[in-house]
Amino acid sequence: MASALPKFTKIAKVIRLNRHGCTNRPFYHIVVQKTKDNQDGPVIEQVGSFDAMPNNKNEKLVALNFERIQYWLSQGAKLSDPVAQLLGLSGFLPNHPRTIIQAWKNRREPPRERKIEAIKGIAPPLDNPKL
Amino acid sequence: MATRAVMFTIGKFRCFPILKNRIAKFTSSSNLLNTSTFDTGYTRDPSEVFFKENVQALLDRLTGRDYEKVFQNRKLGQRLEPPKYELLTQAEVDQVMVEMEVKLKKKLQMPPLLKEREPVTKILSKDAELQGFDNCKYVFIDISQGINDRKREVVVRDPNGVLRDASWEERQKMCQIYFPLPGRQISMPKMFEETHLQDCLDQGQYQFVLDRACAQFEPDDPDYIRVTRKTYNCIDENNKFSTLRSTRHFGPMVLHLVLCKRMDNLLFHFITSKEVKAAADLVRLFHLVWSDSSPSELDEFQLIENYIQGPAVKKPALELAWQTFLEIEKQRLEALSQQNKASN
Repeated sequence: MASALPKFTKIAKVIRLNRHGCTNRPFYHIVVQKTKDNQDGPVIEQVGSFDAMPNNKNEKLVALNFERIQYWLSQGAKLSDPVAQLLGLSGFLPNHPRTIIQAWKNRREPPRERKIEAIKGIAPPLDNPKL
Repeated sequence: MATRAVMFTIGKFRCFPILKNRIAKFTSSSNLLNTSTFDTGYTRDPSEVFFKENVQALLDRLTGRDYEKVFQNRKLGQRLEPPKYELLTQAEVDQVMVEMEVKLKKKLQMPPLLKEREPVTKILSKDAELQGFDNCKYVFIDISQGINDRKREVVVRDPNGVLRDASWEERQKMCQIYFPLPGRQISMPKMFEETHLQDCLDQGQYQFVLDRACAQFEPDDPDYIRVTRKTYNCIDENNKFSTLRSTRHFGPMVLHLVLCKRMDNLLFHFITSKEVKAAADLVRLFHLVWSDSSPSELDEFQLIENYIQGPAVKKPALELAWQTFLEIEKQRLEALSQQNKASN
């Protein structure tokens, strides 16, 4: 089956989240950039946005330009983990293992409380619950 | 039955959604009570009738062509320009009239009457392994260029891992956020809530309400249907048909009244303002909608008389108006014939 290999340019391109917004209020642009460029450096194309703060209906809004994402993937662009997770959640790609692991961790029961005995005559139990 | 009547007249709109399935039974049993506020109207799909060519032609004729009204400067928050006067030859005037005709058709394009849309139930994937990945839902919209908003993919991933098509409300909100249409708000304006809507209609702002509803909602939105039906019924009760004449909303209003079998007030209005052609068109529309056939009489007067004798609901008022009109016609014709004799 003939399949064209993706064109490997010298500097790889990647689709990742660029943080915009303000302090304590993140808003991400989903962009195609060269890997070596900074987060706030030159951007080849913006292919979407992700609002990480839930709105008053408890929704996180994600806009994805699937047509352009498909194009850049065909041109050999890589995906960063968060973007791959978002694409998995949207149904464009299979579910990312990180999402599954995070979900499992969230569902896991909280660790059992360990009762710390006082050492007689020497010291009372510390308040640190991790010990 | 009497106690039920009391309940309906006192009850406020808050009761409306709960009592919806009881209302149809009630209205069919007593026509005497003014059931306008609780009238569900009709269960038939209006789009079957609305898009027929002969119905469209009749509605177009009924709407009228008052150029002054269609092209008047309306205070809609846009900058008004003073009128331009130009000196033109007859050929140029004809050319301009042709262009104006095209513009008029666009301004008088009737918003369609559709039945309420079915809620979206499509589930794309159920991933139990993703349960609890986050405690809020993720709404995804495809922002590729060149897609119609109704076909745009909007999906929602719920915290329980289900990936589903977005509901109509979610879809409209997302499309408005990322591809805004002018005149439309993201959430429903307070004006369309029952109390505020009633206030607007009491002030007589029918065209404003209908224009804003057209901008805000899709034609198959249950809110759009509720707002427009309420406005049409209000106009019918108060006999303010002339406010909508030569606007894009007159056609849908007429079709709504015909489907509800409430066109008698409108017929009365046409007869008393001596618009025989319009009255005849209305009766023809009635026959088209309810028996799907054009009536055999070609004479307009006969057509209207047959309707008044036959399917009309408000017979006494209509008969009186019709007799008065016939007398006035007779006197007018006599006066004309005397004038002709005198001149000859």
